Amino acid sequence: MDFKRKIETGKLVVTTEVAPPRGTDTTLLIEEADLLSGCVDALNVSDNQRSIMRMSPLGVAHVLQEQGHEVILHTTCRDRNRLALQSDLLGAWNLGVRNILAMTGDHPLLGDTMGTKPVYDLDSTQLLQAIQNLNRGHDIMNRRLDGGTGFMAGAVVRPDPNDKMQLLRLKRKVSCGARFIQTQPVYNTEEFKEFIEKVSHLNTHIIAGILPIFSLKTVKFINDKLPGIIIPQEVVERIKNSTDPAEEGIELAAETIKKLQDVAGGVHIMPIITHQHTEAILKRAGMLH
Amino acid sequence: MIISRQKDLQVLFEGLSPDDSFFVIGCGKCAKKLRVGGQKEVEEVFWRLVDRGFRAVGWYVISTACSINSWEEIASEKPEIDDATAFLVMACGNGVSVINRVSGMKAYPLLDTTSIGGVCDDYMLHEQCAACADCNIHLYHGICPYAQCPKGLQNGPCGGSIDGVCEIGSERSCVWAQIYEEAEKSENLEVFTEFHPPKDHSKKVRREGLIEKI
Ligand code: SF4
Ligand code: SF4
Repeated sequence: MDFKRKIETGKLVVTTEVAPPRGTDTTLLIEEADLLSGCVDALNVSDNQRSIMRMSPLGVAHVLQEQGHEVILHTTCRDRNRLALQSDLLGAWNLGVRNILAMTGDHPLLGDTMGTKPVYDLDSTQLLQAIQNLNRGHDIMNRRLDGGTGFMAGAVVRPDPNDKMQLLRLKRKVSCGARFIQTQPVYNTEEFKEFIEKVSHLNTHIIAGILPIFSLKTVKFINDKLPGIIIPQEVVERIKNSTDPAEEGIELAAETIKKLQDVAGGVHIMPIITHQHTEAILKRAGMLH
Repeated sequence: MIISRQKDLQVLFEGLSPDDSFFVIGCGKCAKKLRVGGQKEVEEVFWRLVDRGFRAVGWYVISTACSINSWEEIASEKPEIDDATAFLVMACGNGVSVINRVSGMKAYPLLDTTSIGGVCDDYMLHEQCAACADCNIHLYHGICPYAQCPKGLQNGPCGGSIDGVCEIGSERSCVWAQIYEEAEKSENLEVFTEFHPPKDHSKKVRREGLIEKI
């Protein structure tokens, strides 16, 4: 069953993330994707994440699909205006892409290419609406197209039950057509449950983000580079005190997934560098049979 | 008010030709108020030019650099202006452009124009308006996200808005957090529930050309 069908029928999904190469060499990308064959429903392909220049996600999506993987194409508003976004989406549909993750995109000031002009002609909700239009066979101006799309569109959220603004924004994303939501990493499962209670009335499929921690280096990376993600001290202690931090990381991630299985519509695994342990995590969590 | 800041004079001076005769011009409105182009700053630049061995023939603070009725009036007040071959202008880009137009002389900007803003209670307010030509600031409790959010977001904050701080850095607050505060105060969260369509950027370009009879 493909990702779209699973979302439509409310099944538990497993997604994960791969980073496009910083260059033209796709060897590592393909190796990483192969580690995930048979254990995930779809691979997210990021779009110049954190404004660091990489291969276009559409190019990567094509490579991965050729290898038999299903993808979720990240589409950010940072680099393209409404003309380019729509035409890229039409192109993506024709290349066989079926799932889109609509995002605003990190500001270029955070990235590696200083002086870049930010675009943000649309925001993520406006992009979601534009996708709805394309799905109805119309462009953003409501003019009929020669053939429309049938994308499964999704969006992202920071699952903070106390951030009223983000909750309101999530509601609007759903009303603009986000049929699945992938969340930022979850460590505090109780807080996540609280979040789910607050958004359970929304007609969407919430997929909990899992960022496994295999070393104190990962802790440092998250603290330095990913503001808003709080790693509980207990997790840090367990990694610190373990003789085999990678194994402890697998166990921690699996424990989190088990706790989330009944509340979330799936999990989205996004390790920082490699998917070497992703299969093990999913096995340990009982997500693979 | 147009907000500007002074360029790095060291770098600027390096690009000037020693063959020119310079006249320094300030602006008595925004630039003076922001202390980047009033008499004090203009004189300071004049003397720095002299110190560096450039030919500096004079200085003058025009009452409003971007709104000049007659160049002759200025020239009659400061006859030494006729000896100049280049102007160094301490006004916003507008001012430089107008001075260039009315004088027909080479004019270098000494300021970088950064935004449309204001001054309130001794505080400079940056980036208050981005001159989008499609004003809807009333929808946002008087705080324009198009101008004040680095992404110009019209439908609520991005995911980088955390604890009221903007994702571009901890010194800058997220404009959407401010809008939320105002919305809560007035018990009207409509701005977060209504969908705002994309801005109409076609209004921004004047097809009729850039000169219009008043
Ligand atoms: S909407 Fe904002 S940018 Fe546009 S004119 Fe009004 S204040 Fe200026
Ligand atoms: S944090 Fe707020 S002000 Fe900063 S870019 Fe995001 S929405 Fe705009």
